[in-house]
Amino acid sequence: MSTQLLDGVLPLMSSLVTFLFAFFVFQRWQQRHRLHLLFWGIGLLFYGTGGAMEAYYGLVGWHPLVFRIWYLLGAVLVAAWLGQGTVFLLMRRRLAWILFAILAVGSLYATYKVFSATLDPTLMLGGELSGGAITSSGVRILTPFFNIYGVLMLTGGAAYSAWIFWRKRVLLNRVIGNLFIAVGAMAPGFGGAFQRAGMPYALYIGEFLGAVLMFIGFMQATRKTEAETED
Amino acid sequence: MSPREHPPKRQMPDFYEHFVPIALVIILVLMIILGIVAVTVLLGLWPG
Repeated sequence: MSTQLLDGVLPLMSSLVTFLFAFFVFQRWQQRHRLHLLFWGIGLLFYGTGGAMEAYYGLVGWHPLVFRIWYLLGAVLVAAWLGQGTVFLLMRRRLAWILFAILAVGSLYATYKVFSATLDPTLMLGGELSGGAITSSGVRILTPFFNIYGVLMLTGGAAYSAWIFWRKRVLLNRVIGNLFIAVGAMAPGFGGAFQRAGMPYALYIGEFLGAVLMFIGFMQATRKTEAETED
Repeated sequence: MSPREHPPKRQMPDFYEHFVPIALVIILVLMIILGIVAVTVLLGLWPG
């Protein structure tokens, strides 16, 4: 039961938390029509779908389509699309669109590579999904490029925002919220690194922690403060 | 609450005065470590 819990239930919980998180982000996007919220929402759908694919593998079993969707959305694209949201929030619109164009072309290329890759599920260790199942060359090497961009933008952007609010001594809730987001955004990255090094369940634990911390951070950063309520 | 009763704008609890910069430095260090890991993965030096 404990193995099944980690293989299936933990990623399922990550997925549910993330879909709930995505719901709040899309709700806010519907009210404010800001592009960064749209991209964060899309990134969170990728995150939640990745978790759902992991849960499917843990609870039901191997399916090549499940693996490809997981690898594309959950391993390659998720961080970069979340980071693109932060790019739209903090950078000049023109630069943000240029970076998005590069990301869109890269995402299409990654889709082609992942869906044309040959797979061997016996190369994965234990009951969790890992990129080790991909036997074609030129696929796994794509992941760090997307993830470096995503983590740099998402974590860097959140840390930068926290620092700006702290320096101005305003909106403490946003300072704290952004710190949570910055730490949460790095958790799956560390989990993935430890998984590659052979540590079981590191990725799933990292993803769950990341989802929870970023959700707490977002709710904290967007909650109405006492001063705002009274105004 | 009248305007006079509002706390001064540039004020933050003492705890956060010290905690936030420390947290930001830790985040920066973690980002650098993650960056080094990503580069070692790209170079094929990271296991797995």
